[in-house]
Amino acid sequence: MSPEDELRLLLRAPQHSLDPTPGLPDRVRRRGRVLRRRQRTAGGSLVVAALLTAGLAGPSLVARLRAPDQAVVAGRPVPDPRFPDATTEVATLAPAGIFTYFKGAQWCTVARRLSDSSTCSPLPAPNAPSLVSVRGPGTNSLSIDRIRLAAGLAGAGVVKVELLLSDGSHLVAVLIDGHGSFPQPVWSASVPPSRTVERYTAFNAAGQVLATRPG
Amino acid sequence: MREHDEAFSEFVAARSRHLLQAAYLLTGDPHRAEDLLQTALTRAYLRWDRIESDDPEGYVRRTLTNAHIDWWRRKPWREEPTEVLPETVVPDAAAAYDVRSVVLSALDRLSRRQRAVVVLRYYEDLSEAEIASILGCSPGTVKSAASRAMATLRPVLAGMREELPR
Repeated sequence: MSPEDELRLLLRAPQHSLDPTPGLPDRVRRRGRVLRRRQRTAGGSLVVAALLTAGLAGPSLVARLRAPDQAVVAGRPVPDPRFPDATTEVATLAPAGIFTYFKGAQWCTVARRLSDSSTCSPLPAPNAPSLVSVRGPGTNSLSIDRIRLAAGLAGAGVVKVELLLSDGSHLVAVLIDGHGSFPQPVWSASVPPSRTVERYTAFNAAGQVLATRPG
Repeated sequence: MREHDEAFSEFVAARSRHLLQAAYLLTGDPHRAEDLLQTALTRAYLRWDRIESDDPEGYVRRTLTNAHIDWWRRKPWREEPTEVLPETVVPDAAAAYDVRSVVLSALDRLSRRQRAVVVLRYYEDLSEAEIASILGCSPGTVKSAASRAMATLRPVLAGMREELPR
């Protein structure tokens, strides 16, 4: 038997077989209908907006449409059926099912498996130190199997968050803003299983340290 | 609409297990595989009128593969350090080792493109030209990716020869 044939047999071994979720067709159809409605709504809104802009809008109306409060409404994220309480975009922090979003004035992280593990906490005061909201790699809502994330909110002026790990190595966290829908950017980093975080450091655009916090 | 839904349900009932296995081989994670399959099936459902008479499975397979590769491409955290994989995966003949974990850890050693090529070539049995069309590259690229992947996987295959299903 050639190595290619052996590989074929191995890949088709019953050990890799999984049972699809019961009711998969219904679930997919529901999801499809939600998406279709969303696309139609978005399409209809675009047509209305185009008509308004092209036919009716004078400079004052255009200016008013560009006003910040209107922009928030126009840019409101499309609701995510998986997280109906989210008021912003839902961002995926890890492939296996770790998400983050905001629910009004609360920041939430969710690890989704057979059941959800979620943490929501109020946003810090605007003048709070940059690293006041840190969820370490042991947090249930940031851990799935061997994936352990550390995450937090980036305060004013923070453009980079660095993690010093127990083996002396550094991790630079990823900053996301939910395509502009997050009230504050969220940073996150995946901490390897055998390591712990010794220190978090937040930097501004000039590379100056804005805040540090022991892990 | 009802006919449309029935045909779609039949397709999912008939092919979802096979496609889920492909997604699992691509991702190595059962939950991510399920998510990926649902994403691909949802897209298929939305285009069912156009793809039903053509090749719905081909469409789902293509979506599955590209969604997986794109998803990795988009994720900035992929650049973070990961655990070092063992140097060689040598199954212990004396132990009742798990075929699944050995195969998945062997696939983990491949690049995403190589892994996709392996799954499409040896699990789905597609030709190099078909794979090239799915991945948007030349058949030559597919051929060399398959050859490099086989070179990586060969020691694992040799170690597992006794365990192969007959």
